[in-house]
Formats: sequence, structure tokens, C-alpha cells
Amino acid sequence: MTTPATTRSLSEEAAVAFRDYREGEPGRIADLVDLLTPPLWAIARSCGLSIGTSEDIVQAAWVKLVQHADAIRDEQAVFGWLLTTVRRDAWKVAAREIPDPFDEEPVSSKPAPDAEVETRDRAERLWHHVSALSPRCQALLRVVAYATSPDYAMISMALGMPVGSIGPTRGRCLATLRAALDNDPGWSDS
Amino acid sequence: MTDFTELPLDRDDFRLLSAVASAATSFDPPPNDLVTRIMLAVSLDLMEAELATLVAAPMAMARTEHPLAPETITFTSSAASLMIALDGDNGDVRVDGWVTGGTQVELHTGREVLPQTADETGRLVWQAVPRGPVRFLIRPLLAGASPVITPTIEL
Repeated sequence: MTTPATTRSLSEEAAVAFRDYREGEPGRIADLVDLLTPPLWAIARSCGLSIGTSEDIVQAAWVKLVQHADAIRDEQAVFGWLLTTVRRDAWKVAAREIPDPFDEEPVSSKPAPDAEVETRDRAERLWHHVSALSPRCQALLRVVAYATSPDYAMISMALGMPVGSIGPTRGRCLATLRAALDNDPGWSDS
Repeated sequence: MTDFTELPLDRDDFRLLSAVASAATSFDPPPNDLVTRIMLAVSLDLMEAELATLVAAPMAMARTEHPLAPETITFTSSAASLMIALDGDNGDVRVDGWVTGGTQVELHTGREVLPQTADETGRLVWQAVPRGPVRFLIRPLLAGASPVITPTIEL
């Protein structure tokens, strides 16, 4: 495993930015938004929500945070607070939304245009299998992919899953993904 | 309760997670302008401003010589109002504005703030604004009035 460039976990990085923001540096909210929007996006999309709906949900969570910034006692909790907010709102909408078959694909399988062919094929296969995971597993793996191990327990809990759900044992999310890859004749481990 | 039978993640697990991260970036990244939209959305609360109401209306200028009048958008609030007309083909957009209740108007693109001061008739113009989401901030002349921010519109 490559050592991350920063020794701070995502939660800590977010906590520092949030603390600075609350202590009178409004510009730090932009750093927080840059830092956490990708994992929040991942949760909304994992529920199968459209691009537009996912944007609205993520945006609404940030507006809520700014409105209730004083109510969050512990800065360390800001990442978990945002994850939980997006998760709840996304589930609410997903439970209501009837997918339109003519609507855009909930999760795109189109590769980036400049991706190398062989790499693109592997990445595309992997993405196909990630997209087929349950929304909870998909959200968990996509969010932890942005984080480091100190964040894992908090992320699992914020997504309403038992701690340890990432891991490979006893049919957890990585195991499910790996089984799907192993069953794919076009997939080769390298 | 700790699951003592749970094995820690090994190097292959981390490699797979890393591959998931790469694939997510390729196939389902957040839209390019999402962060901009978020910053525009939170700026309202940060500035403790009043949100103007959008009233879209076709231009009704009986005395105009131009047969095809551009569409205008009007924003109203308790202390100030702003009407804008957009003109642009493929590139940047020209924004003409008419403000009442104030003279200082800022156009926010999320990346930058473009201030303009109205002339004595309340007229403003931004010559070349890049396409994308924007909102306006008006500083009313009325003493004690909060800044007025318009909803986000797409140029």
C-alpha cells in the first residue's frame, strides 16, 4: 500500500478546515467543499440517483452545514455529519424516485476518452462490477477509497453498516466485489 | 462489539480499493461545476443576505427599435431590484443590467467577483462573462438593509 501524502486522515483534514472556518476564516469552507464533495457525491450516486438529483442532495447538505455550523459541537464530527446527511437524504429520495428508463444511466459506464485501451477495459470491467454492488457496499467502497484506515470505522457507522463491512471475510463488500471479478472470464488479476 | 475473527485489510485489498478509486474518477466523477454551484449556494448564508425572487419576463419595451428584444430576467427583493439581459452566442456572455435601490452590484461566478457601479439611470454592463452558473449581489442604498443575493442562473 502506498503511504498517503498526508499523514492526516480525511476526518482530521476536514476537522482542521472546519475549525478554521468557525474561527473566522470563511475561505476555508471552500477547502472543505473541495475535500469532501467527491465522497459525498459517491454516496448519492451509489443509491442510483441521477446526476441532477445527486447534485441537489450534495448541495443541500453543504447549505445545511453552513446554516447549522454552530450546532456541530465537535469539529472531528463534520465529515461523519455530512456523510450521514447525504446518506439519509439520498435514501429518502431513492425510495421515492421511480427510475425513468429513458433517463440517463444512473452510473456511467463510459470511460474517459483519453484512457489507454487495455487500462480502459480493465477499469471499465471493474466499474461494471462496482456498479452492480448493493448501494450500501458501493457507497462504502467508493467512500473509503478516498479515505485512509483511521476513517474506516467512522465511515462504516455513518453509512449505517457494521464496522468491518469493508473487509474481505464473511461475505463483506470487498469479498463480494472480488467474487464478481473472479467470476468474470474477462477479468485477470495482475 | 469488536469482531475478533475479522482479518485486517491486506495489500491486495488496498490495491483493489485504489483501483475502485481510479475507476470512480474515470467513470463517475462529480460534475465539473458542482463545487462552484455549492460555493454559490453557501455564499448566501455566509453573507447573511436576503435572497431575491426571480421573475422571468420577456422584455416589453414599446419604444424599442429592435424587433427581436432579448429576454430579460428580473430579480426583486424588499430593498432592491435587478433586471438583466443576456447576449452571447458561443463564447462569453454580455450582461446588461438595470438596478434600482442600489448602485453597487457584484456578479459572482464562483471563481471571481466582478463588481460594477451603475450610472445615474441604474444601468450596468458586464462585457464578457464566461458561461456557467452565476449569481448577483446587490448592496442596497437603504440604511440597515442586508445585501441582496439573487438565485443562481446559468449563463
